[in-house]
Amino acid sequence: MTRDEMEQGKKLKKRRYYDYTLLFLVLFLVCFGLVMVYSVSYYNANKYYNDPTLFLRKQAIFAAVGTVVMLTISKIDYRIYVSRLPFLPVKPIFLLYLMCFGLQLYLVLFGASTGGSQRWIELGSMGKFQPSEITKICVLLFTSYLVKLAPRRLDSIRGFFRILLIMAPLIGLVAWENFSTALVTGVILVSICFVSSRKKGYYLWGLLALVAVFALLIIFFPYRGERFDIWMDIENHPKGYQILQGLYAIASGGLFGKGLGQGIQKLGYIPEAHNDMIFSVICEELGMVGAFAVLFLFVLLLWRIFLIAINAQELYGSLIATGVMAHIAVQVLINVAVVTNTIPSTGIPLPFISYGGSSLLVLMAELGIVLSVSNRIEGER
Amino acid sequence: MRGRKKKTSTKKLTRRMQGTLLFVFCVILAGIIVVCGRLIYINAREGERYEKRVLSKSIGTNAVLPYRRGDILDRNGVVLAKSVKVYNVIFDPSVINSDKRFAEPTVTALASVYGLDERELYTMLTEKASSTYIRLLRQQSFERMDAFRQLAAENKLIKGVWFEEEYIRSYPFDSLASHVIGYTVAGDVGTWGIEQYYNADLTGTDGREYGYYDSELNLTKVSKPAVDGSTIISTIDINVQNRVEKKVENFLSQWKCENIGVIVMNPNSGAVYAMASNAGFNLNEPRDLSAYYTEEELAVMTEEEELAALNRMWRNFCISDTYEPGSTFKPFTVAAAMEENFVKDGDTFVCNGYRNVAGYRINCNKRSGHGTVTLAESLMKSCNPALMLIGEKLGRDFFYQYQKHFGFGLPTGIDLPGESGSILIDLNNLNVTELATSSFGQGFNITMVQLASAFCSLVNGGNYYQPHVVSEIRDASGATLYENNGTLANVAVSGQTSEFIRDALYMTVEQGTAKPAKVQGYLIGGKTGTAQKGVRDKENQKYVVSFIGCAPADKPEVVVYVVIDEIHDEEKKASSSLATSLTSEIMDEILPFLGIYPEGEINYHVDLSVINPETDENDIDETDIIDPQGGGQPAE
Repeated sequence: MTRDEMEQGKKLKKRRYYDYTLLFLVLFLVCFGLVMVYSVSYYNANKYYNDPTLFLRKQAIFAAVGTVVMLTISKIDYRIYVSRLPFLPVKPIFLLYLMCFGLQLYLVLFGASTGGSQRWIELGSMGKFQPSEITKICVLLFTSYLVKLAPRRLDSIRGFFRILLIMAPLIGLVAWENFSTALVTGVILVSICFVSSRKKGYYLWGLLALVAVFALLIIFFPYRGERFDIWMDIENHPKGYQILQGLYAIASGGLFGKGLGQGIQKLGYIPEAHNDMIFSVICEELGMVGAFAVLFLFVLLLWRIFLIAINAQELYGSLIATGVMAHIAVQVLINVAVVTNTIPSTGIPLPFISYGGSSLLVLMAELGIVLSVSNRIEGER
Repeated sequence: MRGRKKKTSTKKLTRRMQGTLLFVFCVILAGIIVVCGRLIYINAREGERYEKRVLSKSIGTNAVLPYRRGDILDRNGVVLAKSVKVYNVIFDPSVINSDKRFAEPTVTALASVYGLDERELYTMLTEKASSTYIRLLRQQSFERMDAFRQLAAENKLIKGVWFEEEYIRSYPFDSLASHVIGYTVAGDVGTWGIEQYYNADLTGTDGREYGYYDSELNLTKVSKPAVDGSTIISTIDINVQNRVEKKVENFLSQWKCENIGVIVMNPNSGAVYAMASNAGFNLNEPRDLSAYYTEEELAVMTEEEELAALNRMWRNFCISDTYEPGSTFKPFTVAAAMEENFVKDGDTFVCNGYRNVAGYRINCNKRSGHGTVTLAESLMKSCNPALMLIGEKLGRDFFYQYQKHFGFGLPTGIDLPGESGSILIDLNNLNVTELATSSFGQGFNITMVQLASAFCSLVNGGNYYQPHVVSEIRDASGATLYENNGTLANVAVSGQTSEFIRDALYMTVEQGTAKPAKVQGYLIGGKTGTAQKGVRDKENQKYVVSFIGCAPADKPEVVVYVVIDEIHDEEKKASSSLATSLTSEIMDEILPFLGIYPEGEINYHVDLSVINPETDENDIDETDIIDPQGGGQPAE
């Protein structure tokens, strides 16, 4: 065959797009995350469990499973979630909603009975499972579905409230046990609605109203909540310790950092450094250059998702991509903002990098769906 | 186009929505830029300050817990040196100034407990308002600290005064055994004596107390306790040492001399019970010269002179200074000759009052001559010609070999700093005249501790034990780390020879030249010594007089050696009887402390062949021995 013939043959074939750039970015971030989790956790893992690679191995298993899940989902047509299937009485999306609602309700009830906030369901040797992570996918898919059904309704604030009303029970249950996760799901919901509505006025008013309420709270309530106090006076507040240690880590990293594995702050000074505070250790060990590189990777990732959203063949796919983009973006922003004490502290992990199985699995599943959306794009390259 | 058709049918993202999405992306981008800016800000603004905190890790408390230097005890457990905890008073104006109500009660309390000037304290509060560390007073007692703490407990407004712990070294007996115990600089650096030699054992390891925050943000204090230094149990007996120093002091009040040294040893282990050199010095004030000089003299002293005076005061004569032993060496010559079978009990020697050696006339202490003397009488009468004859028989090779064998010339290895070796006449230079004078202890140098240790081996049955001043080291928990009950260095002489020497020395005290050494109720053996010192000069000859004795003579349990260097008295300068009677006085007092009690009836028979045991009083003087190098009269 000549080259012309080969190219002709290709042209004849309807070529389906698949965003390998995005896939590569995700896998790169996950691998980088594994390296950082090991660097951050080996000291404490060795100290408390006498096994330096404990956290690394657990996270690696989830990363492997997550990769398989992502690739599998990326090959499944995302539209089946909202279509009628012959063997199911209802659409899968409703099943997902019910399942999440059930799990969250179980947590609330179970948590109440044991008298404490409960975020996990024990899965024995598999570790713990955090249902609120699945709820994020559910909110994402369900909101997109609702918007897709009637995008015009969002032109008025009523349409927005209708969607909010439908999602409220789920988000409410999440908020009951974990405010931060509820905040993230709320942002996902609002982002999807915001992008698809043609009238933006009421969002502005809503934002202004929120700011006003917040301002009034600060002015009229002298006790503004412990987190706010910590934020305002990080250096002297006794409970500002974790964040302050993170700030020390960031500041001591300098431009190029102390070198991978050379950080001091992870040696017992930053509690749970491999979780939400991992970014501060990245700053300490890899310096500002390393931190900017990580943030740049996230920007690239978001840019690829943005392109998929723009180019998706259907509105539903676009909205899903929008939601995923919002999800990742809000988590990165909140996490880094908390670590740098830009906003009051709240526990949100850094996507793909922080230690945590359910978070990683769910994020990779979401990326799988986005890849599936990209797979529907038909292009002639 | 196909795409456009599809757009209407499947509700693809509208251009407007795309714009909104781009807007959202830009917002996200803006957010990322803001946090990047925040990172740069933290690094630029707080970088150095936070980095220092990371480096110092001074979060929470972080205090040194000082270790306690080990004690030094005497052989009966009496504390000779100990470390006492004291408190430094630290003033913290920054804390006191944080609230107006703190200043007044705090200053009042400080003034009442420590007698500080209130006005000065207020001045400090204003002038050094932000200071956090002003050391007001050093090394204050626990009682005062406790009194202040009680005030502070009653009044919560007393703030900003801290106490730093520190140890200071304290010597309860001031100058007693000063040369042996030694002193410390800066509380824990041993600088002389046992303090220096055993510094590593006495020193412990500082502990540290630090606080850190656990994951629940509770301040948790962790302390690594200090490891205290080991306790040193010395062989010094404080009662014996005390008596010896009293006697030395008493002697010095009557006679002026360059140096005086006393060693009291256990001949059966080499343990030193007491060691005194001159008047000693106050260990609590080791730089205080006022015991030796008047204030006027001190005032005009230059720095070099003062240092020289201090070094003179600190010098341990017993181990650092060398001198010619004189007649106290004679037993060694006799013992060596007996060991090599050149002489035996019953051999006789003829003394004409002098002996010509290689053209020099070397006198005996009795000018008229002792006549015929037996081997035992050569020691009893301290007869030089007899000793010269014995030395000749022995020959220079054996003589030199035995000098070395008895440990002369080399440091004994006693566990004290500053021990000297000494100079013997080299084998190649040990010609007939040198051999002749060396045989009665002139012409070579030794140290007190060399002679005392070697003498122990002569009288204890022949075993040479290394002299030592420390018998045991115990760690802070009381476990024994080291024990020294006598280290046998070599076998010096046979038991038979030792027995002969013991008996001869007993006879020397009973009937010979050392009669003043007698102590009522005890069997004493010993040998006097009067040695010419330095340049031989008939008019201004200087002498070192000495006596070494043991008790009980039949089975010695203690050896006392007294050396007096240059008595500043023309009449008595060559009189060993001063040393002999001082030894007698010392023995009389210390023997009961060492568990050696007087026997009711002396019933000890010595079976040595003697011709004329009685020595007349004039014979005691051992002066006018002719030096082979100069001033000697040619043989007639």
